[in-house]
Amino acid sequence: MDSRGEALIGVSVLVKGTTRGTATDVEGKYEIAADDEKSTLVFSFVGYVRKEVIVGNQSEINITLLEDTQNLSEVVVTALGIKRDKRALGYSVQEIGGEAISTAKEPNLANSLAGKMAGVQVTRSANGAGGSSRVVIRGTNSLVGNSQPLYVIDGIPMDNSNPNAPGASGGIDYGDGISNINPEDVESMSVLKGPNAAALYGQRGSNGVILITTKSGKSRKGIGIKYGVDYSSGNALVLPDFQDEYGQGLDGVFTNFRGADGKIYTWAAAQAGNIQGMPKTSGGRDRFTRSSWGAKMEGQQYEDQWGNVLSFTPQPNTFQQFFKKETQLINNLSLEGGNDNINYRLSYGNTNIDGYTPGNTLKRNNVNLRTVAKLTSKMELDVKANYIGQKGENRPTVSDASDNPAYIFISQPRSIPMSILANSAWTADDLAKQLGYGTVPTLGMEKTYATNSSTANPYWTRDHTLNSDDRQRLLGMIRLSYQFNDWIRLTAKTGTDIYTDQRFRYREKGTYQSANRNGDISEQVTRVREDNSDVLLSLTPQLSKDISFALNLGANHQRFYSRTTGNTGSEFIVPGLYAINNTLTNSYVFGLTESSINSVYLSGQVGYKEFLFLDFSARNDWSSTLSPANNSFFYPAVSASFVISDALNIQSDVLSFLKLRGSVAQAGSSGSPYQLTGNYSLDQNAHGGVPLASFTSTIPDPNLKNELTTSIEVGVEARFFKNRAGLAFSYYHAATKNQILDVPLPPSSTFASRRINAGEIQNHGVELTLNGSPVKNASGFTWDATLNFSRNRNKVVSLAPGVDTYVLGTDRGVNVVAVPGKAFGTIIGNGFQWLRDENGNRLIDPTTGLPLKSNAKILYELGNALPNWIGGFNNSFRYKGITLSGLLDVSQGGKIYSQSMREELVYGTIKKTLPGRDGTYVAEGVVASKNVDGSYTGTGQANTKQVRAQDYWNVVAPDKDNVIPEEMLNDASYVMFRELTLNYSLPAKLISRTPFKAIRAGIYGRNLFYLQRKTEGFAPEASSFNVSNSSLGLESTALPLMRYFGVSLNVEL
Amino acid sequence: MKNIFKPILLTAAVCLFQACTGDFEEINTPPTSVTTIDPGLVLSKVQKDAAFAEGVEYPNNQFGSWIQQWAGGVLISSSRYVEQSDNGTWEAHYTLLRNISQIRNQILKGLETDPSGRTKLAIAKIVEISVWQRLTDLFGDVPYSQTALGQDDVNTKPVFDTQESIYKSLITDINTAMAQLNATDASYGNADFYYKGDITKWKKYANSLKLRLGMRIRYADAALAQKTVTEAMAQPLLESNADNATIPTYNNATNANVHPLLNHFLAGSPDLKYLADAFVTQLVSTNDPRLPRIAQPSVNSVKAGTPAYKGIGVALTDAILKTIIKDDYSTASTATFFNRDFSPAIPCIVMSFSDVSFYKAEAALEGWGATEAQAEVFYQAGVKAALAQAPYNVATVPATFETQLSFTGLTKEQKLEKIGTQKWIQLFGRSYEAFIEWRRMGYPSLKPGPFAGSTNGTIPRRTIYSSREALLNQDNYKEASARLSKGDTYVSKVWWDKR
Repeated sequence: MDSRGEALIGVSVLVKGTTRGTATDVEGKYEIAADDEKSTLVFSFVGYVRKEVIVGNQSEINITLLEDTQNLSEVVVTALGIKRDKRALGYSVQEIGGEAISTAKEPNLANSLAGKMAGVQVTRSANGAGGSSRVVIRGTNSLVGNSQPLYVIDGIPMDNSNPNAPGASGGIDYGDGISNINPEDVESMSVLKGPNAAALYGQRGSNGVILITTKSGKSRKGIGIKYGVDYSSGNALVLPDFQDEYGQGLDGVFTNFRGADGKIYTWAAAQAGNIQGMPKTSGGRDRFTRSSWGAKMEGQQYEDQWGNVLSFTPQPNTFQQFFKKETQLINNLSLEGGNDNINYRLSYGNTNIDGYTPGNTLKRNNVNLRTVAKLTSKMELDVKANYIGQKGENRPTVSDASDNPAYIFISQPRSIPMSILANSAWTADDLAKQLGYGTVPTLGMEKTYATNSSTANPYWTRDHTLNSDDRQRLLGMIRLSYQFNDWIRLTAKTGTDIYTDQRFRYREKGTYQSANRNGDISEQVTRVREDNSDVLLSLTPQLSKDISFALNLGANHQRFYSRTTGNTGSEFIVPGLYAINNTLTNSYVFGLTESSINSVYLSGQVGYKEFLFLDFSARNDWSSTLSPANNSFFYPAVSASFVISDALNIQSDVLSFLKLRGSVAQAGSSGSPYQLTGNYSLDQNAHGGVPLASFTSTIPDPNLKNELTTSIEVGVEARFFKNRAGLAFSYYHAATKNQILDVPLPPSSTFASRRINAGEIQNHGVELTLNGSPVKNASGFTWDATLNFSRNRNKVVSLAPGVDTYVLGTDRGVNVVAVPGKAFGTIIGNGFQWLRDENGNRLIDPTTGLPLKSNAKILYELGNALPNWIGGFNNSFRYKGITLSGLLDVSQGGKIYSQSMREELVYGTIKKTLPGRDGTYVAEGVVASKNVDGSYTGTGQANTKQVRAQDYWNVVAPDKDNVIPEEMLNDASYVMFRELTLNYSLPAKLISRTPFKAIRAGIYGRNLFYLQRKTEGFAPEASSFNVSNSSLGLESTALPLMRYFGVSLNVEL
Repeated sequence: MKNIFKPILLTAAVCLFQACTGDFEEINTPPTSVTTIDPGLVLSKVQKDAAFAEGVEYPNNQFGSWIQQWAGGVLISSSRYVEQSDNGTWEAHYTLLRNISQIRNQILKGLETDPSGRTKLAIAKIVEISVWQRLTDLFGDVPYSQTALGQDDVNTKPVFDTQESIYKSLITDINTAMAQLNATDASYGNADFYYKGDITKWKKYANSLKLRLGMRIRYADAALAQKTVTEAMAQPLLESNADNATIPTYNNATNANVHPLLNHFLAGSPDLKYLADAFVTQLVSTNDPRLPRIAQPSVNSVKAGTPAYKGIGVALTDAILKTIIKDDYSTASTATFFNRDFSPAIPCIVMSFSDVSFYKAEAALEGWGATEAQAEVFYQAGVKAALAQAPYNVATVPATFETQLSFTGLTKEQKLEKIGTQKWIQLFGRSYEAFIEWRRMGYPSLKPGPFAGSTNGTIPRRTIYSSREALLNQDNYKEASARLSKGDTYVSKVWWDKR
């Protein structure tokens, strides 16, 4: 009840240290099973002061909640793991709790942030189960590197890198660091957005920090056992919009003909000579033979490129026939317990994913042990060991590479039966009757539908190639703290993230893509270790009643080590033996990276009367990657928070709380190791015993300095209607200067690049979060809603002197660049351009009826890859034990260049290429007239001349290297119904006689559907092939985004 | 308990200042590279890469298709005269120059008159000159005087020097380098693929290169050409196939170690292994004994029991391409170049006695250092040497081919045509040099393919500057393009191209 004695409805009642909870009903009554007499019940309700009551021997506990006239006390985890009252913060920190993470299980923890926080952009890679995710907070800060935040788990930074990530022409995504973490172990995630919050993390905090706090045990009687199981199943959500009318061939007919005399003729020769027999297709590489510009598929008999006599019918379900439903089974078991002096939590998580790509599996075991012990009344020991064992098999090859099955299906003729491809090795009969393969094929070799250096048979890939990876990882931490007295505490902490990543791959003899078609093998082991040790002295003297003061002094030593060793071999000698000694040629893999940073830092807070707070921090780093003269650098931060509502005592029924905040901060970064000297390195292969060496293509700079980001942030936080609604608004501006860049040089300088400090990138933007409980009625029904919106504006202010363009990524037909004066991620077409009149209409050649294009390839701007704004809208409805919540994830603006579309248009495989195949296609544009000098001008008259669709699309994309890039551009805007979860907690009454203390069951769906999508044939937010800047704005035969449905059951003993 | 904090604090305090940055330099030392190196390793790299670059799939199907040795096709749109910048060729040459110039700019700097460095520097310079010559021959004006000056003196916007000035400089440089070759100095030994450090052979090679420099400019600057050629003719030149500058190749090794034409076969696309009609026809119609060792009878002709050689036309229209059944045409020979088991592995030629003989024949026709009467002798020596080269190994000229060796009754122009034609065959597999010499001599006369491309149906006369260069060195690029008669296109002619 409240202070007036009226019943409060919907008060949350929770047994402390458990997830068991209930809410009060219309009469303000509740019922809950406590563990024992020592259990504590926590009562909380928005707008009221939270209250904790020890159960003792009471069977009925009636309490009165006091209205929170002050404010809502909201504790968040800030830098160095220090828990702070949010009102005292002068910068933006946003936190999400474990439930938001673990109810609809994302295999990669980072994905759970999508749409949930203002200013946080999550891009999934299109790389199958266990793939990486790119998280960017408040825009891209750096031209090089990935601009991703630092992940800190229980105070220890984690290495989030993904060694040997895929690129534009293939590769396998073995998953980043964050994907290894078991979401079930996470208590909360706190996002420190930008340097203002993260200054104390030093150079690695300049892109923001995500602090992950894992669960720990609670004092209780006996052992608390929790078990959870989660099963989900997913299928492709977005697939290319294939056409199923026309099959392999050209000009609406077949390319070849098998005469009754057994001879093979060209189609034209057979027609002219009135030859009897049947049509035949060819396995030639170019679009003249392998595209789907052929005859209508009407069941007519034909002979395929291997000599099979088949009926010419559509084969609509290539993806569906080859790929599988993806399933994910997660089991979690945890034990926890403790007493006043020691508590522990031991958890085991098992994740089992059977991937979309056949044969692809991912198994992960997570064991986490956390123990907190009071050694003496003043000394506390906190120990954590988190073991992660992850095994992957047959992860798919991604992007523009032959053994990416999706790459094959987007261009494969629409008439080739999958059953033919399924017999993936050449037979003697195939060899005798083949057309178009020349002298290449041999008995037992991989059979591809065309003689392309970039087609593979997906069934061969499935059955005759293998890749596996095994990652063993230990995240460990020991923290010892000593409380000298009530205001002095010393903490020493050391932690490690150590893992080995072993990767093995082979392709059998006969694999088309392997060296000389004799197969290949590679095995490599990467050993990574990052150690961090800290000492921290915390002083919190009581100065006076009105003034609070705290000071932290600390030091950190960080050391990073990564060593990769391995072998690659090609051309197997004996078939069936997959060992490096069974190869004709082999070479080594070796890489070593070491770096170290030492730091000292201090931070402090001064508070006046609980309404005015001032924070300051300063840090000095010494980095091994810079020269002795430049390796020490300093950066400060200061912030202030002013709670106006308290200071001026202006609370009302409308305005409950108002706070203004502001901060200024700097953060530095010292770049990668080994950037200071020029060097000679040896070629992998000597030539007949004679070694070969070359000089570096990058001109080093021995005097490199650190990069520096300066950031300011101001914000307002307000709550209204007795705290029923809240608003948080931030404006920030960050500029990163002196970036360590490899500035591209013209090749004629004989060098590829010069490494210097140069350039400036600015990001500024706004973030808005609104939340509230629009409905909270007498029946116990509540509706909570959170809306977040953020808009980041990026500007590349300058690059290096004399440098106009910095290429971030490049692929066929397109460059993605940074250009001064524009936003990061400008997409530049590198191909032909339509000729247009002064009104922007395309000029159409009056004789051919086809649009005119530039005579040679040119570079021209197409747009920008970055979104205008992103947002999320989360709603959750509670009624008694039932919780229903849904999340909309929104991103508007931005462009993506699609390599898939280019393939689909060249080869005529999508519906877009259907209209006008019979010769009735009318190209949009105005009729051109040719001038004396050979140029064209528009007549203003609309084109009406009819052409064949094939001829039109042949102008757009005659082959892979000669395209009109603007035609492949897609708008990346989307509104996605990201998550819907329904959970039901059984009433305590029902289970009171069972051994269970709580039972919760749920169903959920993830990536449900788009309310808006403008891309053709792929998912805009899951199209990139890696998580670095180099895949920004590029789609390259992405594996489809999966839509999952799942069920979960959680019980507590 | 308090005691345990003392060591931690102490360690931290000591660690964080001076002491702990002490190992920074060691940590930051690159683990897989060195700051200086034996110049031989760099020389080997440049010699090999420069030679192997011109015989692999791409140059064969672009330059080699323009001069109608290889069929090219729709997969290499430049073979159909569709213009595109030649980034790969441009960048590869400047990379060669970066590496070879390190020897003079850093590794052996200061040893120009010292026996330990003098001859090594001269050899490096000679190799460098040959790279510069090929670069300017392919593109025309290129950045020359303001680049390759070492890492401390990098000009990020070098001007494009005129080809005329580059040639003059190269001729001066080759004279200087030749004078620095000294048999008693330290040499490269086994690191030198051409001659294993044999200075006598290096002198012949350098002088042969001088002959080539002089002859290349004969139609642009006759006086300098005559002077240079005459000087070269008076000194020892390559004297037999034993003097050929070659790089050994290895069959059972990685594709990087095999002959470039074998690499073309192993690593390339099956659709790009076909020979051009003009080339095959030439070999067939003259009963050239090299034919079966250059070309393969078509699959269908073999199936039909009547093995026959047939090349595909070049720069074909879409309409013609549709009518092609590849099995009706000849690839390069799967018995020799396209055969991994061919033994001994075929050496990759950098410059041959045959090259030199054809230049001598041309010089003799002009009376430059030899008499007109000697022309036929030189020419015959060139053809015979060409026939004797691996993998042809034809020791005696068959009677049916003898007419090809005769100058009897021919006009001077017809003699040049004969030299040009035999040179064209001899340079098969060296697609840069073959394209360069074809443009210079204008022989054999070739009919362009039917596809108009960007050149309005004429055979390209040069290749296009790198788009990366155009982007990053814009002003100088524009200036150089403006100097070209038809801009930076396939149809502009370089300074020495007057035929």
